[in-house]
Amino acid sequence: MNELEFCLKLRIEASVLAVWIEQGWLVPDTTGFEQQFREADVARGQLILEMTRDMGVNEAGVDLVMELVDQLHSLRGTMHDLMAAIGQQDEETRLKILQSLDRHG
Amino acid sequence: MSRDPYDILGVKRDATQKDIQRAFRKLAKKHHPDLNPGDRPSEDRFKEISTAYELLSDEQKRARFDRGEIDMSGAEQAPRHYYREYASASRPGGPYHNSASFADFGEAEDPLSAFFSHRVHDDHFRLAGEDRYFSMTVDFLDAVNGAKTQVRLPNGTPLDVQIPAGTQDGQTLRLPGKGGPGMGGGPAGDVFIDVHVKPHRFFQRDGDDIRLDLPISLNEAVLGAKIRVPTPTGAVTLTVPSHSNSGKILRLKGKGVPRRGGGRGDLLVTLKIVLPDKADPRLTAFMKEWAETNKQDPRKGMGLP
Repeated sequence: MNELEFCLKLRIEASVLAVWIEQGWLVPDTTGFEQQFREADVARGQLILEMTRDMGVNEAGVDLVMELVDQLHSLRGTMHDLMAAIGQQDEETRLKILQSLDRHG
Repeated sequence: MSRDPYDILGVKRDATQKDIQRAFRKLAKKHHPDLNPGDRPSEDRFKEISTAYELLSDEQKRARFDRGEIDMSGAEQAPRHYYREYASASRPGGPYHNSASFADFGEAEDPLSAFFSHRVHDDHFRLAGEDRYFSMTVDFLDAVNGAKTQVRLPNGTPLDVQIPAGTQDGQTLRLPGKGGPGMGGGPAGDVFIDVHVKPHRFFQRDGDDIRLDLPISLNEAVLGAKIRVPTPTGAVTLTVPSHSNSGKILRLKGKGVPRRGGGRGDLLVTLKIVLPDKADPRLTAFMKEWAETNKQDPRKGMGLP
């Protein structure tokens, strides 16, 4: 969806969206003629709105939260891949990994 | 599932609006699915909390609920997709991928560590493209009101730039993904543009406000007048009160610079009295006569002999 559709969907002013993009909270797809927003961006926008409108988080707070949320998801993605890779090992290897984790924990 | 919004938020029936807000914020922090991505049941819980808050935070709805006229179902919210559903597969190359939290894993010389910090694919590293830096000069009003413009990159390709309303002199704009191309499927770099704002003929920026020196004639100053005043968004009519001095500042609310997240600063108009272009014998004659009886000393208090 384009900028206008995005703003209508979230019921926000274009100037608010401009701030979000400028802050780097949203990164629309700019490869085409006009910037495009994904469903993921809508969900992200809802999170930003809830924080600013309902939860009393200010601009600096949102900036911090979004940075950490992105780090968290990236870490979760990597962790997920790692778990899947471990899951594909044979029983003996998995057991060894488990034992090794036990020693570290 | 409890259908009493007071129970859900854990507040007493006579709680103040402030108490309700505080209770909601506490629970929202704990249960918002996007702030607790690993907690699957949080979605139902958060929906319940926000439905209860939607009802109780609105004093009219709350009163109607207290009188038994409506129940929680009236405030039911449409099903929605949380960001975590899209982000659960955040991988390098995605727009929101951020590997800062495990960048240090790669310091050990271990192939498994490299998996975290570089994520080797097809035997080569994914590398983000380089960032590029430019500067541009924009007109005062374009910076205040926002504008679309184009810059030409050194290689000749034009690049559309949206100047956000309220841009300040010296501010840097970031155009994500418009920099050098990435390698191995890595994301493109960003373009950073330093913006220089040209001074305006008569507007001067002062934070979110704009200052303007406005010449008025002697008769307008003495008698008062309705005059046209330029603002960044077009001329408006301003009432100059009678007996207005030079230097008097009139404030036009909301005619200044748009603020981030809504609202605008003000336009501060400083009046400057201007005498007629040519000396007028009638005015001179009147002033001579008037000076005889006018005993005002505007410089008293300056310690002059």
